[in-house]
Amino acid sequence: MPISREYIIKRLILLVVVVFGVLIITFVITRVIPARPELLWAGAHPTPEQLEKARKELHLDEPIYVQLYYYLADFFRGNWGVSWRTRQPVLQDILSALPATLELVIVAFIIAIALGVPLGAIAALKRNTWIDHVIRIVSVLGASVPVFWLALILQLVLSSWLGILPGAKRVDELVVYETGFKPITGFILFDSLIEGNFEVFVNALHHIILPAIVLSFYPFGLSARMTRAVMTEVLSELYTRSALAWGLPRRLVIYKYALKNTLAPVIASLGLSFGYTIIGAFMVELIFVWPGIGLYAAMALLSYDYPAIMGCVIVVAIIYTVINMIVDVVHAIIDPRVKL
Amino acid sequence: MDVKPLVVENLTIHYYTLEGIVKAVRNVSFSVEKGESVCLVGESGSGKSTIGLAIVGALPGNARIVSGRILVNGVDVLRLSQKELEKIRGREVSIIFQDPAASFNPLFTIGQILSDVIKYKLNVKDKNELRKLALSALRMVGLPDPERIYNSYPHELSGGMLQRAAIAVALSTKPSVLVADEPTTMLDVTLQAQILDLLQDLRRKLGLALVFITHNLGVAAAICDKILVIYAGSMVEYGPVDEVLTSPLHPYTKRLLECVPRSSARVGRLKYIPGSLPDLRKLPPGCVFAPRCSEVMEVCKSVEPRIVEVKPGHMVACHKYSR
Repeated sequence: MPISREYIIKRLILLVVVVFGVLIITFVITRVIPARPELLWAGAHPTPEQLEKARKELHLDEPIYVQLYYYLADFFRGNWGVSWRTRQPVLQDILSALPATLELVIVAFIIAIALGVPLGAIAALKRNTWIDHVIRIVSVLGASVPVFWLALILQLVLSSWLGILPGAKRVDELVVYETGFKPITGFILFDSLIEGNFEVFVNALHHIILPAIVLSFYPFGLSARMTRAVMTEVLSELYTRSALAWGLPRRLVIYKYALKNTLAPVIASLGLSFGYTIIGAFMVELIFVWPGIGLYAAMALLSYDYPAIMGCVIVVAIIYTVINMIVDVVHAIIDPRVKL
Repeated sequence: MDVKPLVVENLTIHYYTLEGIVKAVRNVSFSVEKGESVCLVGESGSGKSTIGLAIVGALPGNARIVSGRILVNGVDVLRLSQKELEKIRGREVSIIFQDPAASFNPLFTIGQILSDVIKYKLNVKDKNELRKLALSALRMVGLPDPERIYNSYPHELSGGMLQRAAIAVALSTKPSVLVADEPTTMLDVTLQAQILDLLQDLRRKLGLALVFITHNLGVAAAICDKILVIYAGSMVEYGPVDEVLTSPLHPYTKRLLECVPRSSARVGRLKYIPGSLPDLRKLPPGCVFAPRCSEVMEVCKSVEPRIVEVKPGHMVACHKYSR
């Protein structure tokens, strides 16, 4: 493995810096918003005394830097606070919501890569033919159609009008009760498969198709465009010309050699698009009532649930950093010139 | 009678670009015997590399061979189907390029590329056999420690080693014709000599027909039996190397020889030929060299000179020698 210890240490330091920076920025932003979260904490129809008590409990009467101190001190002890909305520890809330989101995003990326990379490669090989133009239109649309619009339209057409696919939730509760399904990791597709519970697996798969397709549009468009651009460049490289001139079959030069040259930059761009996809997941989860971190964050945002918002932002930041670390490692595995 | 490994007849190649049709090569003919080497000499942009690529059938997509024949071991490769051509390419004719570092895909080891070429060209399936052939090809070009080279990525090797490796790849299939497109231009002088020696050596040992493309007359003098001088896509002079270099006929060849800097004669300014190559999209009528020629006559500006044999085997395209 071409990965040095310095690289891992550097990345861990970077992770801490990123988390710290995100913490401070989101903390300041949430506190500066002119909202009155104590109203939520104090419950319905509070008396002025109750409100005052709530402000004290939430440290809202203290200066902002003291509030930050309290927060950081708790945060690094693993206490991410209690959600003001659900009254559950935030970390626990997030950890139970995270698998749903990761499952959705992973399936979306699998769809995006499985379609985007081959279509991009075909477009590069059939450059300036009608096939190329069709793929271009589809991929540009994929990358530019707003995800909330797409989600609503597909939900309306496929679920409401045609009734082909379910338009909400991860799985039918009835099937879960009847089969006595107990999730282990929280990844329903994975859990049901290893438990041999095919009824739940098929049901969950049926549910995930629509939101995953919606979410896959952006990474699909991106990977198709990137693959076409990089592949076109690789095919015009001197090493491609010499491989052909040395008599290697065209098939081999394209699918074994050029494709490998194409993959590294495509994977890197997909890693960067992950952040955007998470934002997409917020909308998709809200629209499809998908019980993941996006739905949780959206609800937290709508009710000024500071600890929950902070927790979500930090988890997303950590995931983003880790994903890009994985992208680096994959790049180093593909390209021997890259030393980490 | 023995069939010549390579015969090029009246080859004309055009590039189709957005700015117009570039007439890159016009009516070029030459042939190479077994074990013989022919140099294509000319300035940058004279079309010499295009001829090399045409011989191995690796012209870029916007190039068309408008007319002419390329006979490899008696077979006209321009009449072959794509499939038949793929069989000959790399098997009977192969090529090495100017920039050895850019010739190798950076993500694959030398061994992977070399053994793929052997596998698909010689139909060797057995893994051990494949490896043995690959290592012996690397040994043939004088690379020390072939095992290490086999497992190396291009960025781990020097330019000289990579050029040797490229020669190993090109010759691993025992082709009868090798096109060497400026193979020493990117190397420094000592390496240059080593690679030239290696090519000479392999040419004799394997009886290769060598097409050597260069702009360097010194290199041409060292390696070639025959020399073909090209100017703006047309052949201007063709003959045995000693004759062409010692008693050049065409004014262009004479000027070109005067331009070679000599370390012994450090007097005066370096010589050059005034003017530049004509626009290959809008060729002037008459001789292409006329606008830069110091011995230009009235007829040169209107009538294109035909190539004539002045002495046995020594041909020139110039009105001075017509009739």
